[in-house]
Amino acid sequence: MIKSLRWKLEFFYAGLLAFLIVSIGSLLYFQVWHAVYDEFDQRLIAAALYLDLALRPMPAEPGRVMAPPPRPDGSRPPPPRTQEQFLKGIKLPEELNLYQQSSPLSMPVPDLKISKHYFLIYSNQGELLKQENLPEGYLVQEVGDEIFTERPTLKTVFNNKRETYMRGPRNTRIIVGKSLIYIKERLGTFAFRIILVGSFFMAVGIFFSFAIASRISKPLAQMSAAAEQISEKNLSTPLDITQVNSELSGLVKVLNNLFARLDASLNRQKQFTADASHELRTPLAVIRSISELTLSQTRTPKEYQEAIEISLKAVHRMTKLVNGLLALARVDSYSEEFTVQEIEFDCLVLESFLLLTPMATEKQISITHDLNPVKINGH
Amino acid sequence: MRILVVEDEPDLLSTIARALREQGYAVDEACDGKNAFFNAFSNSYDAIVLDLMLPEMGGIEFIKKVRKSKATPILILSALDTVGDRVEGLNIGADDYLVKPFSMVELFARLQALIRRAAGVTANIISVGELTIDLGTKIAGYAGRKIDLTPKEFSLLELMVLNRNKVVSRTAIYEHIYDSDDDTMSNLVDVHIFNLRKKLEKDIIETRRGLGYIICD
Repeated sequence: MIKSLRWKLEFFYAGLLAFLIVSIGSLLYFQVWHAVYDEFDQRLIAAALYLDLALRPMPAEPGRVMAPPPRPDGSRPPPPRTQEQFLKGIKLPEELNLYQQSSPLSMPVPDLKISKHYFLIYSNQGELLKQENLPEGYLVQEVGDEIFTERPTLKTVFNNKRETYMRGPRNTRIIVGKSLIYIKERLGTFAFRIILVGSFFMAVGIFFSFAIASRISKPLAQMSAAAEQISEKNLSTPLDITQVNSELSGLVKVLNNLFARLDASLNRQKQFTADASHELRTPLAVIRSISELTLSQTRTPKEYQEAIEISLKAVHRMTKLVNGLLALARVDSYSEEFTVQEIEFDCLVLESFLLLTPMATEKQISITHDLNPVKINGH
Repeated sequence: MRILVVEDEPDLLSTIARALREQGYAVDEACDGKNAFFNAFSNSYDAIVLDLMLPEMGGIEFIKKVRKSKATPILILSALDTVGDRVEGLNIGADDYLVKPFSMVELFARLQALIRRAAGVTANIISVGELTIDLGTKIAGYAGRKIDLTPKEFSLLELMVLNRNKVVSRTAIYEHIYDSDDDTMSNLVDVHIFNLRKKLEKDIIETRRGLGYIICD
């Protein structure tokens, strides 16, 4: 499987796809996470600034409320609100949480208690003036005085709440906070959806990659099937080069070359076997037929002699042939008996020339020679 | 019956020719494809014994060329023994295939069968009226008794019987019972006919004046 081109392609492709999906998913998640937190913080700051504004007309101190002077018409205006009364009217606008209903992620709105802003207002002396919507079991965080500045400061507390601190009018200290549980849940659901969609794309991608890998490896499989057919049937019909893709045509050419060479060598071997069998069978046929003919009836001694002579001639021919075949077999198996050595070829020719000269003169043929010293390798 | 033997090995050629002559056939010899084709084209043989590996013109080519004009039965006698070779030889137009080395009696039997089949006869023993001839043993009988015939006379009788109910011309008889080396005169045919009639004691060979001879059922 490790060696399979198809599986290698498959793994490479799946890895690449996974990397792409994970990185795009992470990027998307990070962007959304960032936007959600940004929005969250903006609203916290807005709430703090709102409180800052709302606190401006707060009566000075409890108990020091002066009755307003009577109106020109003699009626007494309603007594000014005490600080307590004033503080009672301080509320965060409902619009701060509006987005929850029209959330683009359309999440079910969770427990309103968690999803609402809460706030605390301390006086200059550290006395708690007002608290609203405080979640159950809320512990006031001990924060340093320096955190309360003119501009709102943001901080995450208890790991699941985010608060903003601000110095309000008359040195009041404003703390506005909101639970992070809701947006954490939202982001968790969002992450889950990303993973779901990513897995779906991954599955689809792997399915297509299977299809593609099959398409790529199909011509290879077809080619090997064709090659197998050819080697089984007939080596001389080559693979069709026009049927394969250009990337494979080189391989097809190499295979065709190989088949052609194999075919040639097989043909040579066939030819050799045919020649050898012809050369061996013909003298055998001579011996057999002359023997059968001669034995078929009583013959004269001369006829017997002739038959034996013919048989002997055939035997000589076969002996020569068998010796030749054995020598060839020895060459093929690189036997030690067969040693290639340097031969003076001109001397060999001269020897044959001298042997033939008397026969030639007898028939009144003249032979001449013009020999240069030549050395060849032979046996 | 006249046969052409084509074989490039001279010893084998002469041996086969001698053996066939002893069997009573008229035999022509050829040692290469061209000569063989010339012979086959210009004479009418009863069968051709052919080697496949021949100089000048190969056996396969020879068969192809002969088959264009003649239906003479051809028996291939070859050293090539693979099924492919046999199938090729037979498919190209040969009638039988024998692999070397072969048995002489098998060659005789196969040749006899080829000649018989070419004449439309299935059995080796043929009867015409009271005359019976055995193509295998070369023995002729008439009304239950054996008749002694010379090989030439048997050959003539065989030719007449295989072509019974047909007029066989004197030239045809001459062509089929003598080979090309024979310089005998064609009136020898009349002598053989005369002798045959004498030995058969009954004149079953009729003469068609100006045409030839005929044996009728």
